[in-house]
Amino acid sequence: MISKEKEMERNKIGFAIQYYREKYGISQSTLCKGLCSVATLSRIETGERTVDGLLLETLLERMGKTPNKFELVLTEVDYVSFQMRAEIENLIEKIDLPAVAKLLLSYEKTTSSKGNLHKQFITRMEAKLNELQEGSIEKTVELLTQAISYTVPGFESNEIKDCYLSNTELNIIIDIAGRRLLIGMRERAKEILFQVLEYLELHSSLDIINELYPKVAIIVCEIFIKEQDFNKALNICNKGLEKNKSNRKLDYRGELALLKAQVMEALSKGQREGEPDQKEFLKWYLQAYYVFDFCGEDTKAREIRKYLQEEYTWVNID
Amino acid sequence: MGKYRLGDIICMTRKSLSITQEKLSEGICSVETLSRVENGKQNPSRDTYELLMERMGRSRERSYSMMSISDYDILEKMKLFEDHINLYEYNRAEKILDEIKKTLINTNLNKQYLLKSETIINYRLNRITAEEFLERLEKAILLTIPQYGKISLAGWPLNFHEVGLMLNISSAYAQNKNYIKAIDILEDANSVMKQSYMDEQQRALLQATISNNLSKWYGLIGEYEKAIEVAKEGIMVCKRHRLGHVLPNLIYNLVWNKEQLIDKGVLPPERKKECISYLKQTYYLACAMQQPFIEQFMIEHIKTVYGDIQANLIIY
Repeated sequence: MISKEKEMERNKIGFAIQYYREKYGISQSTLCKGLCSVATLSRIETGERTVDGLLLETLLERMGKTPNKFELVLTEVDYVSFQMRAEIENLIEKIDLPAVAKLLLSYEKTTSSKGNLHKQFITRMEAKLNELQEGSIEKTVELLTQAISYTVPGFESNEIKDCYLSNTELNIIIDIAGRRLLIGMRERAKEILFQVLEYLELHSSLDIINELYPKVAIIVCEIFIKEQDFNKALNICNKGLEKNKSNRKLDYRGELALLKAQVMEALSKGQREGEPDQKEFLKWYLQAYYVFDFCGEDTKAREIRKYLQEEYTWVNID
Repeated sequence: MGKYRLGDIICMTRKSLSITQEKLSEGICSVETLSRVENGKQNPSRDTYELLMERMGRSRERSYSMMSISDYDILEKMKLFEDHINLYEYNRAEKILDEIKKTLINTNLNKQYLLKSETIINYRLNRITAEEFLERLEKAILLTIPQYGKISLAGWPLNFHEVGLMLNISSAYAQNKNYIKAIDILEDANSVMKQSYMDEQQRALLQATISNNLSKWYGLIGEYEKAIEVAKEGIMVCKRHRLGHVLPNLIYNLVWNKEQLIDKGVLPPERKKECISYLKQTYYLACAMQQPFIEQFMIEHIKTVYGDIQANLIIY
């Protein structure tokens, strides 16, 4: 037992990490794999204070917690690098590419000796940059693969369901799969995506996991549609819709509705007897149309409108 | 180096938001205390630190660094409580709240949280009247804003939870049919929002909800044009932040008020066409947001106002 005073002096985030780790029954070595040594994690848990904020953030995120990043700032250097990361992401959002490239360079200098997570951040941003500059997809995949290899080495051969991964790490993996699909590497993309799905289902009790499910479901559903496996497509699409239920945002809603419409349309056409029931899937097409239309995703909205007009002499969209 | 720098964090945040020490500390601690904290001469208590950071837009439920071990359990329980409330499971929510009560230490912030939560449950379970509901919520807000009711809160650096409480209080006034007072409170909250120090997402969420309530109540007191303007603002917030949860309601409010203006002869009957196409949009957005209650409500509304034939044209 330590005294109350002593406790106050200690690094409280260390307590949080230990608390959740033990609550979920995760071993130290599993949690810190690819991030830091077991000895370092032990020191963090007992209250070591000179710890990199990004490391703390990732450890908590691997257990499904989204800490307020600002609260994890412990040192001056941390504060600077925290601010720079926020600014880089902000500039990416604004698509100010020269400024991003410049800031990434100085970020590299600031954090040069600080380990894998910073390298991962830099490489991930380079991949985004490449994409925004319309560089080749192969190059993006290469950069993303490099980024994930910093903290999840051998992520392709490993069973990722045995690991604990942060949302950032999972997002990189999903992005790799999505881009592989675009360059015709469907089988390898599928292998990863199924592993991610398995991971998400296994860890569905962790808060932030559910945010990722619809994103993966959309990609997997598209694959099944391409393969004409409409029953599986319907199944994964429904799961995606279910997991997206409590989402207050319009994110993924247009995509999921459109996929549902396409799958149901295909299934109804496959029916032997009688007229296919159009009402049901037309309703989903219209949901997708109105979401895209409201969100200003005009190309997608126009496509649906055109399709409905041509296939179903549809004139009833205003 | 290697030391907690709470004072710096407070100071940097405060400066980045250009708030004075006086304004930040008001009602939380003395200016002298804040000054000592910022200079690193004194450590703030956990309660003070959280209140200060919250007022500057750092949300409570996500701050881990100042917590002691037992608090993690409470944090999880608070989340569970919210989930039950959102699913209308008040009895379950109350059980969770009882557990939280046993372990929560006695601070103003915690007292406010408990009083607000208990009051909401008691009202929803019909144990207290609308008047009592209102009275207790006002008591809760007085715990962190002792000047509440004496001063205008417009321009006050309110935090997420305080604005949430103002929303609750204004709804209580509306329940008591005092729409004017309800609107006053929300207009104050709205002006706080426009210059607030809150996290972008949280602010957008509150703004959309405030616009929804305001447009409803302006409509109920017959100020249709104003209601339409407010609803449009709310819809813009939703668009900018891709928010969907109150969007169908907001568009419906827009339509309802336009319909009133058409009825009154202020707008020409040709504008009905526009209303119908908005209602159609509302219906499909409600479907996409998986809100079956609003979906059904739209069908009823279209049938009642425009007839079955029109409804059948829109809905598949």
